[in-house]
Amino acid sequence: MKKRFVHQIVFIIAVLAMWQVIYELQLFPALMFPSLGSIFSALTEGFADGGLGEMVLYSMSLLLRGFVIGIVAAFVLSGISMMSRTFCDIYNMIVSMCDLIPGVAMIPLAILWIGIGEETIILIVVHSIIWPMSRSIMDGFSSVPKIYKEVGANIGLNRYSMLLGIYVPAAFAHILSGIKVGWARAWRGLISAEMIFGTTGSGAGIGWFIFMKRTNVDIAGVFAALLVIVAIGAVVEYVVFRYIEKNTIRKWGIGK
Amino acid sequence: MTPILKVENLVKRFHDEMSYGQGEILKDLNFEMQRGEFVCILGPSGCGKSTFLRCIGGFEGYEGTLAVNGECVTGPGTDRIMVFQEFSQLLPWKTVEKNVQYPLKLQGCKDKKKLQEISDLYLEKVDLLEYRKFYPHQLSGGMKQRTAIARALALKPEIILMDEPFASLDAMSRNHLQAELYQIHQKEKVSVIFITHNIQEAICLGTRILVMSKNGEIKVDMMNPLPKPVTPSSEKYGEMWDLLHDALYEAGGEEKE
Repeated sequence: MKKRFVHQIVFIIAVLAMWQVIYELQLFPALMFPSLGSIFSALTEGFADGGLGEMVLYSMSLLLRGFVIGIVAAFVLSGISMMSRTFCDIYNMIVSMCDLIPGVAMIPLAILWIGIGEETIILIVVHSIIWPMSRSIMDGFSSVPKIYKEVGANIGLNRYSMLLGIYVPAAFAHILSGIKVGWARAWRGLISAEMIFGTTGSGAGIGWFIFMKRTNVDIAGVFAALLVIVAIGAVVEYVVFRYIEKNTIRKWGIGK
Repeated sequence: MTPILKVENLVKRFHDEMSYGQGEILKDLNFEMQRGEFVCILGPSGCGKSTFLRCIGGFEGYEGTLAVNGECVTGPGTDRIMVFQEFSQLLPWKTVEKNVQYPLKLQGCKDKKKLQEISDLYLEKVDLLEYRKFYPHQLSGGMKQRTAIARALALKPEIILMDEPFASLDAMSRNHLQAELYQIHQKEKVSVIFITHNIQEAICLGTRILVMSKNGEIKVDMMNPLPKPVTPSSEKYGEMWDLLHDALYEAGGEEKE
């Protein structure tokens, strides 16, 4: 556990050192390959007076709303498909088809239908999470061992209460990995949508920040924004998901 | 007194086109069980003894009559609790005591103190009280089976259905659990149907012993004449063992030497 962190941290330091060496050697123009120092100062500047902090919060609020809607919808629809064979057949097909459509490809349609607003970005986020999440939940449900279902039926669960009493906890390893995949997809969907959209009228997000920096050829600024995206992702992965994992599947001794 | 279990002309077929003939697993079984009996069912593998138990448990469809306390079996229910052979029968996301309490909660018992009392009582009986906060993956196989027995007892079912619960245990734990189960049966006066293919187990535990034959019929149905507790040095143990052994081999058909 500890050792893994050491490996990872040493690796990051090595990459940073290499970066700086390449910069010092002047192998590439500074515009393409900014120094660590200029990236760092773009980062602090961005937070100090570039409004980066607000943009991050704005992006996060859109992301969380889409994320929650997507997960709840995925649970409801996958739950119904456990109850009804017909629904299951149809929903499986819908998931397979819709999962193939990149969120960005939906943007022209979304703008046409809903207009340029927060709802449109949230829709893109929901779209990027609901299908992989549904797939994971359904896979998880269908791989619940028969013995749990029999024990559940024996101790008095009916087919509806079985869903929360047996299926969800028994499939939790699948569900959690679905949430992780969904989280990454949603993040990417969000940034792409923001870059294409620009502002939504009520606010601008990190995608917009990157877009602006690119227009101004401020490559250090672009890197700074990428760092922020990675940092937020890492915090969620290493803190939030680890915490959930530790208190569920690890504690129960199921999953990987 | 109405029998606790009444089986009349029970037939179980598998509607499987691949199997030859009628595909009858159980042929016209007739059987009556009284309250408090400990019935051990012996039989060669594939004779349908597990299927019989699963029919009683309500996990399989059947033809004929199957009534528990005068009521027809139509599906699984808490009046017939199964104890499976698999160690994975506990819910891994619940601690030992929650595994015992959860079915009671589902039956409408919401009082936390009451639940705690019941789970403590039954975990004490299976000697697991100090492990009540453990999760199933932290227990040995024998402990898991004991938890499953406590869970079954706590529900106070009409019949406990045991499908070779000790078959995957090592000999030491098996003997230990047999003794424990015998004690519990003495004290609680529960009705048990216990599937096994171990003759020693049947003689030690059963108040009544059935032998099923390979084609799904009850071949032997006898009261266990040996006074409890039974040990291999009990009088007539050897005779009994031979009798059951011969019946079992005859029942197994071509496996006879």
